[in-house]
Amino acid sequence: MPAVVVAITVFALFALGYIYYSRYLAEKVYALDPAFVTPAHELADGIDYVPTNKHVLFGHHFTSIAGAAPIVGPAIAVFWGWVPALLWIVIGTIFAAGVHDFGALAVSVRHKARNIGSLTADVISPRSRILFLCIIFFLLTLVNAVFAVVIGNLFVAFPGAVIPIFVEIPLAIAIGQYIYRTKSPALVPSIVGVIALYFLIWVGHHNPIELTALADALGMAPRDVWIVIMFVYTFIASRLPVWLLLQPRDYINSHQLFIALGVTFIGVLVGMDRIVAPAFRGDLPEGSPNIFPFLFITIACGAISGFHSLVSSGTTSKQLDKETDARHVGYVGALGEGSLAMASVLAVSAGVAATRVEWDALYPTYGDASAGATSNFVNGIAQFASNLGVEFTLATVFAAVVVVSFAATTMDTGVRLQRYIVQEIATILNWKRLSRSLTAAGLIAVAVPLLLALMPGSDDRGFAFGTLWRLFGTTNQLTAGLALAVVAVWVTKRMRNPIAILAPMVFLLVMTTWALIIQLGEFWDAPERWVLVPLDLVILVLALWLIVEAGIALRRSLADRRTGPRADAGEGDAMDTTRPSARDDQG
Amino acid sequence: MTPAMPNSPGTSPSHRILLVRPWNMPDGVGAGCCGGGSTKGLCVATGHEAPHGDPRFRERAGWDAFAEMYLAVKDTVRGRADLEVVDPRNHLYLLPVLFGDARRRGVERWQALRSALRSPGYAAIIVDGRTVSSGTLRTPEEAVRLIEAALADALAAGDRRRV
Repeated sequence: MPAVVVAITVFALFALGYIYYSRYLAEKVYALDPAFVTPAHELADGIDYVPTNKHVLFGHHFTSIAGAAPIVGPAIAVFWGWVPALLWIVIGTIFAAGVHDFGALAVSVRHKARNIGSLTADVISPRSRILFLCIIFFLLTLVNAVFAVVIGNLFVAFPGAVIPIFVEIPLAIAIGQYIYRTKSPALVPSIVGVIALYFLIWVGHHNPIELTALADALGMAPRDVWIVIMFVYTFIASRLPVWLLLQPRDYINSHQLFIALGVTFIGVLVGMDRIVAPAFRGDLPEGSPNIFPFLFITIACGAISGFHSLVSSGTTSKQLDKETDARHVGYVGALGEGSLAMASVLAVSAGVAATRVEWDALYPTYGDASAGATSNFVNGIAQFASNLGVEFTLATVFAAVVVVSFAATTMDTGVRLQRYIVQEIATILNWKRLSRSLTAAGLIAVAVPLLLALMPGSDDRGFAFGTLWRLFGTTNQLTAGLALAVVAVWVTKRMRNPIAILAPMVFLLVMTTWALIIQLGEFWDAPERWVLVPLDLVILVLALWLIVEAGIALRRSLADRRTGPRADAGEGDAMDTTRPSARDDQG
Repeated sequence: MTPAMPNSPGTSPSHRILLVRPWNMPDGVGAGCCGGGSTKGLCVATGHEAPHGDPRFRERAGWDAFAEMYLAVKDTVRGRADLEVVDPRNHLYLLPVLFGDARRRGVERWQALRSALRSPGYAAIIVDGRTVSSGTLRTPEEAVRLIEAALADALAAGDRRRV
């Protein structure tokens, strides 16, 4: 089947989801009110709380949620066939991610734009604050470990990407300094930055850098040397002010995101590549993970990602001009992420191979599918780019640079955020020294994922994505489950039908818990991966804790519904002073 | 009682004022899924709800001047113009809007394009596609004065066109 047909069909389904399902959510479930005074107006401070045009806000929201994660999951999951992967992306995006991202935004707006972490404490229970912090700690640890391995693998497989990635750092700083000092418009310098980056891609293509000799001297694998370098870099980068490196590099990255999406979809249209991957894979090799539950945690970002609730409630909700804009910003943002995941499916099912035999050679086992995921994506995108006249090998460096740029920025941010989480947990535990030391917190933020990425057995093909990625997927889905629980309780308290939220929440928690239990058995049986047993166990305990907390909170809110609001309603209830009128509630 | 919202449905101000954020004060970032929001110190932890006084968000102190200017302009133009604050990177939004606004003022295509490309500078103030300030973060009083003058000019130009 031509990939372009699939792309058009998916876009059409996304459009239907937006037109009908998001309208249902907006009117019947979240009961958005165009006259509601949003925190952006009520608390306008010109910094965080600024009423913002919905199209502008969508751009800010989308560039904050889109990146490398929705690329990796689908690139692995086509192992089960491209149809199940795509179905989960489409159904997940329309009925889970849209509900989640939109809902987190809506609930936050009704609570002074507070973030999902503090809402969890108020809406679910005060205990769940530590639950939230623990889930985020593991989420960030796994993100940093996995993306370090992604970068290490890509630098080894595509050594031409090394020069552009490392020269991009001083280049970004120089551009930032130029804009800062001259106070000039950013357009021309950032375009110059992108052009310079593409020139560096050409330079890197002709001057690949490999660390084989250094790795031999150190007695390490080249990939592991890159992993260590990346963590040293992120530790230093996380100590720099964001305006010095992170922001100017984001100028270049945001251009890259749109260029990569454009190249993919125009390349698909021009090349009319056909999907050669099997629609459904009935002949799975023995020992392969079952599609249930593993498909649903392998593709997290791209179908539903708990991290989006942090963006929705952390920054976006503070800028919503009208409450009804939440539909456009939150729901369409999720559709954008789903589109990125679809691009990944097309790249690894149509772009990466010309025949079924070639494809089978790339995806013989789950381990190979996992180990080769990012390389397959890079080669697939390179094929689409070559449809537009770019030399294939040069195009592979281009695609590798896109993935590494996003992965590196995610690591920068991940380590930066992890320091705060470590300090927050230390404050709760009354570990004063750690709670006050950014350096100590930063070292923990770097050391834990570094050890995980280099743990014994990590050199096994498929470790990063066959194992760590699945753990990352489970924690990401747990975060989504927690956010959905908050939204469900809020919707229930407002006398609305919460089924649209409960359905994805229950599905996610079942899949997550099921996967954690299976994985626990797998890790137990593999002595070289003993480290992962306690890790999996802790995440499983968090999942069960979350299920209990969500169950209690929902039961309480249902009881409140029957008896009217409690006299001891928490802050979150008290703040929700803008409940819809009785007429609305009956609507 | 629900206070009236500026620019709420029913009112249709005929002017558009764009305030371009200082470049080190953008909103979203291209940081990627599971990494977004770094620029503003994404509030994942409950203790970071009020980061103004938090030394980890030191760079935010410099943003207060922009905030004061924004609040002054907002109060001044309430109901008379659409006021939007835009990230300087948001070229996908800025360029068509600036081009369109300039064309509506009767500016020729090529001139409108040049103006659109040059406009979104540091802390720029743009009224109906016309850059009234760029490269300097204006005080609230200066910003209000510049905007009032630009709106008066626009009004006069509109009258001339109607005549």
